[in-house]
Amino acid sequence: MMRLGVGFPAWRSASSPWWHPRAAWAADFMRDRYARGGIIRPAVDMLSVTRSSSHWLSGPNGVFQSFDVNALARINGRGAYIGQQATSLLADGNDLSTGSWSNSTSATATSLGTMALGIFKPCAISTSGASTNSRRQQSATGGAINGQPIAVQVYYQAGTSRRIHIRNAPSNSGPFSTCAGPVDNPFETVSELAGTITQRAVTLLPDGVTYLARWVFTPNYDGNYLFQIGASTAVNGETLIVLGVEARAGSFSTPFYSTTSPAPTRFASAVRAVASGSEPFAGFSAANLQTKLAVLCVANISFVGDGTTRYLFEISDGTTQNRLRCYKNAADYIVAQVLIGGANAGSVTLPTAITTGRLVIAVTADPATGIYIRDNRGLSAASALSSLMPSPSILSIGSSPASLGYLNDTIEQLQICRPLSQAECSAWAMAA
Amino acid sequence: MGDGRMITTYTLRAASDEDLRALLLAASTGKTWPYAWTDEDGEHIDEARVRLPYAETIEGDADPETGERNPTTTGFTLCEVALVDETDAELTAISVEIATD
Repeated sequence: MMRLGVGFPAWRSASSPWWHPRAAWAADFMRDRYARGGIIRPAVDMLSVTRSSSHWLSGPNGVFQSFDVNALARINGRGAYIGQQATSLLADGNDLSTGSWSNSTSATATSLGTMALGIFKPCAISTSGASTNSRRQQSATGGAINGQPIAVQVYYQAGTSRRIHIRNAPSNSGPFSTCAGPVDNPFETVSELAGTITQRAVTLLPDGVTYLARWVFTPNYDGNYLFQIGASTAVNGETLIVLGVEARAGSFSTPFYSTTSPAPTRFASAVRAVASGSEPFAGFSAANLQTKLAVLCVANISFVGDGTTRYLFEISDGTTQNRLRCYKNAADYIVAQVLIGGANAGSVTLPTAITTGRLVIAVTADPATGIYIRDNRGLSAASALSSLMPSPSILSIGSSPASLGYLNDTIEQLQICRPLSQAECSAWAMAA
Repeated sequence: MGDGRMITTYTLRAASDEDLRALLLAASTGKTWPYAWTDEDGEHIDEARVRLPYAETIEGDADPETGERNPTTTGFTLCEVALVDETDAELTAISVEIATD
């Protein structure tokens, strides 16, 4: 006997497809499945991805996968990561045994000859016995600008030493901003003589042995950025195992990425569905869909409070004059807005700023009833809407076509639907 | 390059960020996806294909104490445009270096 309506949202039965019944275009990045016009399609028929570099992304188990140029950085169970360009200040960040790195006094760096977490070549850094003198290091010329943050992330494991010591400085002569402590608390002791160390976080990864420490170093000088790392021990020969180090200009971490280039650059991911013939808005060429539609979106937000604008999606006619856009603004409020002729045609803002975590939103836009937005916190907002763009031709996911406000996080799913009522939006947002 | 794809990287060099941007704008003329453009939201560069401009450096004088030669800036600005499986005649004409991988 088919079970209907028990344990399922009102609009879905046990035998119905995964997409909303009124979806004209649907993408499930968590499970790598896509549909358009009610027909399952491969991703290549649905999306175009532009990114002139490879991309690394870790899955829920902490293991990284590498994605080729122009390939969507997507992992089952996590979704698609869509982010801005990021350039590391340090080369060979995933292999500290290479010549891009050097030793400070008395350190020895030995490659373990293995791979870890998919992309790292662990390196054992051993000491000569002086408590903090033995470090592996790399300097980025001109990498420090007074007052401009550097987001740092370090993957490491305990070796025979269970203590870690890190320095951020203009040179080996100091002054230094240091972090030191046991491997599970590298910020036990912090000094900030070369600049502040904020947004400190340490995580034990699912493998149970690798730690990820992240912080933002904001130098109080102009000059080089010197990064040094080693064990904090007085025992001769004790080791710390370092998997990877990345430092990039910015106030938040992005997925780890490195190459042998002096300044490894991961390009931005421009993810679009572009009209070709009647695609992707085939349904929109019919009456109504060009003038009213709904968008369902699930994303993960990892950072708030950094004053950045992050786009969830934008539908436009290829210009900035006519578009429906939805984004987190600099104050962490979710905004949905329609611009016609460059002027505001209708805008809604959810009444409470978001926090980190899973974000589910449903937006419906119909000049007859207005623009409405609803999220999974039960919050909503509504406003009048004068009109919608007549010829949508580009769907931009995780950014605007103007390369503004990359999401810098993961999208789980996105669906473009025939217009939904406020009640239908609410039901979907609470059940997704 | 894995998977049979070819990346052509064009290095542009100019005396200032503004001059570099002018090169990108000129090379973008008539293209569906420009390398740089200006609209109501301001000035933009396509981060998916263009490495954001950075200062050109050369090896500097030796430090009298350490002997190390730290790079110094030349005053010029560089950027790279990386295209996958395509080339661009306009970029070819204005590049100081072209590399394929």
